Amino acid sequence: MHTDILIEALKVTGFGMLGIFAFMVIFYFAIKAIDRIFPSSKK
Amino acid sequence: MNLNDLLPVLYQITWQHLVMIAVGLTLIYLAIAKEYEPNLLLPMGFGALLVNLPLTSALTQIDPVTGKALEGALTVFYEAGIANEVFPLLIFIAIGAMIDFSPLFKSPYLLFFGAAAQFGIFFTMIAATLMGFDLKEAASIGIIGAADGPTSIFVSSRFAPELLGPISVAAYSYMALVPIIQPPVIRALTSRKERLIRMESHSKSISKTALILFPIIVTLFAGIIAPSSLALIGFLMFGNLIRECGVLNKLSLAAQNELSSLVTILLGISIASTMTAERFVQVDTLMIIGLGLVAFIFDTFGGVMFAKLLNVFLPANRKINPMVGACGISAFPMSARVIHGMGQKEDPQNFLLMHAVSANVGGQIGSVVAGGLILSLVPLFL
Repeated sequence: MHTDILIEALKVTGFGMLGIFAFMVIFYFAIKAIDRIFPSSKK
Repeated sequence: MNLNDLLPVLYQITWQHLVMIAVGLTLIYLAIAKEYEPNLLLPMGFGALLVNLPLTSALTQIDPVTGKALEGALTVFYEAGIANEVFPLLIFIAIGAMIDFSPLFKSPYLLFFGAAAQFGIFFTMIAATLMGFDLKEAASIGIIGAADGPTSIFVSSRFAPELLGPISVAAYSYMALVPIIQPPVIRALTSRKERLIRMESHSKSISKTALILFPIIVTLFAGIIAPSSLALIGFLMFGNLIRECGVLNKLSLAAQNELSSLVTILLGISIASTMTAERFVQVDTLMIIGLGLVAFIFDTFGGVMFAKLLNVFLPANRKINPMVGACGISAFPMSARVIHGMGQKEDPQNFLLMHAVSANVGGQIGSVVAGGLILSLVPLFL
């Protein structure tokens, strides 16, 4: 029973950390793309 | 008529009530004398006094004569704003209106530290399951490591409302203690040589269009990938859009000031309605307080170790100061200030503030994403 919960927690950890990094990769490229398409006119 | 009829509270008070009154007074002391997150800890401390006097009218009580429920204000506030997650979401609008994402546009790679420094959430969740908590409770305890009070409240009010009191106290207390928790962990994990690493600064201006588009795009992506996280991320980004759009300055200021202040008062005092002696004076509370500290330590560990890992692959002139990795937690701007201060202590000519702020803003996004992912993932494994 306890081992089952631990295994579930490990799965949530694995998918969770991967998920956060996946989100950040998307946000990273979103920032890069927005910044390239709409650069600041100020120098 | 005897004294029991005149002062029934004195006859019904137990040592557990006295412990909780002491906890309330301690929170008030920490808020006023030490200025530890006073906005939240003072209402919570005072609320703890209100709910731990027997027969309090602040909580819903059953009238012994009529058997009818006499509604208490704090129970009503709790049902109206926390049980349905409205107060944390309103706070997210306020926080969104306070966040400036432009530092991330200057060094977008620092966003990844906002992911690495969420490691403490998951490490603590595993530790909590080993200590006997079920998965929902463990996830709620782990989310203390988001270093983000509203996210902790949002997740725990959904998964483990009975633990909301100790989780909120732990989350806000440790956020205030970041200047004490992070430096020894960072020093233990880094060499002086690493702490002396200087990082290149970029000073470029960001277009208004970019800053307006960012919250919209983030919301759309979050909604497509993890719809369960949309309320959390969406409200944060809505607040940010109010700030950046340039046509709602009055609303932006209202969100940053009046909305934030009012909801914080209601949030703090409503959470206190869960801090009753019956719920709070338990071994679980001590375990949660301990696990909260573990979460903050391993957040710092995750951020620092990720920076060290990246440094293995980076050329000598582009190394990252590992201390900046620790700013990937959401405690903004405290963590950035702490790391800048540590950098200056090692080398007064080393200015890490801009990088630290970028990682810290990444942490604000990371903590909300982590909260949303936990809300999505935990039900899948139950």
